Amino acid sequence: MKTLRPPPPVAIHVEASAGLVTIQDGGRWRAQRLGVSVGGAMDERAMALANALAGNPRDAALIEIGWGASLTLSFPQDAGLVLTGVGMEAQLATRRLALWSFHRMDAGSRLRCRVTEGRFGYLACSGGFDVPAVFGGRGADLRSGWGGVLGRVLRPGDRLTLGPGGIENPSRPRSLAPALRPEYRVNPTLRILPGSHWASVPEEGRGVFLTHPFVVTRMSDRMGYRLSGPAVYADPAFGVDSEPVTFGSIQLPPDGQPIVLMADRPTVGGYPRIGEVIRADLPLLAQLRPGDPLRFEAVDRAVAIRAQGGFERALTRLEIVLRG
Amino acid sequence: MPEPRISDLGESGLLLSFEPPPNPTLSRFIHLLGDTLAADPPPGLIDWVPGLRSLALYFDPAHLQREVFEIRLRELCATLTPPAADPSPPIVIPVRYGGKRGPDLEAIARLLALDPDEIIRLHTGVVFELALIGFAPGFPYLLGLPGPLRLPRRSTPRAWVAKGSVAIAGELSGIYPRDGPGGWSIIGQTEWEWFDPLASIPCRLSVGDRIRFDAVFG
Repeated sequence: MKTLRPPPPVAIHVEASAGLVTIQDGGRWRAQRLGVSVGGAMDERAMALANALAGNPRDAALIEIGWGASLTLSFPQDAGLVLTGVGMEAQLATRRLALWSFHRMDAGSRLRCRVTEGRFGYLACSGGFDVPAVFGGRGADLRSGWGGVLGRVLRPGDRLTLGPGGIENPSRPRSLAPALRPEYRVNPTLRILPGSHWASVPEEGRGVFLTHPFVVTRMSDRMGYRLSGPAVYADPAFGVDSEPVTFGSIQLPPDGQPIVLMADRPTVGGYPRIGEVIRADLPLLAQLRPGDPLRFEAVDRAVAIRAQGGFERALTRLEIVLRG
Repeated sequence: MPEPRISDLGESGLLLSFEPPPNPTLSRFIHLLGDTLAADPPPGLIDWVPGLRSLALYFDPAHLQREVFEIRLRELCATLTPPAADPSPPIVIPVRYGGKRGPDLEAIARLLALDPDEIIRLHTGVVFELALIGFAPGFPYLLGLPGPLRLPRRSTPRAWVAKGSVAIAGELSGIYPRDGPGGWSIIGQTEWEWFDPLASIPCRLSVGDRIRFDAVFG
């Protein structure tokens, strides 16, 4: 009698890794009450689409590669792989791998990648990276030292195990239609929903915020992007009792230069919040580097919900097509 | 409880802001409201997160009708009664004050025109109540700082504060649970451990806990 035995887990070897290369996922929700940051992928759409093309749940654990970092992986066994982002150079022997497509990695292959455009690139493998969940999330929280691989960036010598549901042979080429890819662009106008302290900013300050361009500064990381531009409103007495903040919250510190909170935000903040960048536009912001310009535009809730709803419906259709 | 002001926290969040200044009764009420919603959540509710006098509710806007939800929130605010203060004896946390462990003690003493020993006496002489855990994993916001010790946050936050640092800011005291940046004035340090992400109860402190600091030497 033949017994069904699950195949041994597929392991991937990290041959070289330098810079900000971490495991990320959809974040750790429901532990914010303990002060635990949600974290997760900086570009939610690039993550979700990479996972969908790899046949994974949209928030499965994948590798996030920061601009300036480099990563070399070797594949002792067959694996399925997808790369997404604004621009990545991914070299498989002499072949350059295209983004937004499923690739089969044959046993023995070796892949080198780095981000060439934008700020974060994503590498998903079929099955997802099987690292232990902490507070329900598998992503690395470097400040807390947990999640991902031992709470740190990937290092040469790390062995990454893939979850079950591994590689199948896709019946048709798995490549994402350009219309479904995020519309990354230079000098984006980010749509915001006014927040609880918007009305407390004098009209002149609100005008400055909505008409002048801002630039992402060097003081920006996975926790927040500090912007520079004209002071929106500088009042050292303008503080609030610590209140919850989210991905996209725009804070005004006493110097009047906005800070947009990103994936590794704290759970609460004591600076006034003038609003939130809508979820649909967060990937555009996440992909900006120091020196890149942007603008803000106020919209209402219905616009924000429509923009995100359109993406989620397209993603759901894609998942159904790929499964079928 | 008074009517909350309800505003957007992005399209997937609501922020309830309460008018009274931060106080222990309001904190107990905010957590009761969060727990009550979580016990019988409307479809689409993802999480609740407390602030000092606010409560955030995160949800999937495709599955939660905001107008209906707001009615329920206002009803709950009108009917829920905050629990009474915890009558059990306070948790005692040992602190080494001053020197390298409390680098701001001397400067604060000059600023407040108090003797450093008087600051220690005041800080150890009251029972604080935990109003909020937030900002960093396990960071407790403790209400009850004596009036003479109140002063604003440092104008420039420190890039690095040691784990266990006991700090004050405004009407609050807190303890840094890990090394990291921080803007509060540091008066001492404790070796007391209360946060372990892998423990079955990761945080030994919770809202409503009463806390007293005890000066230890050597």
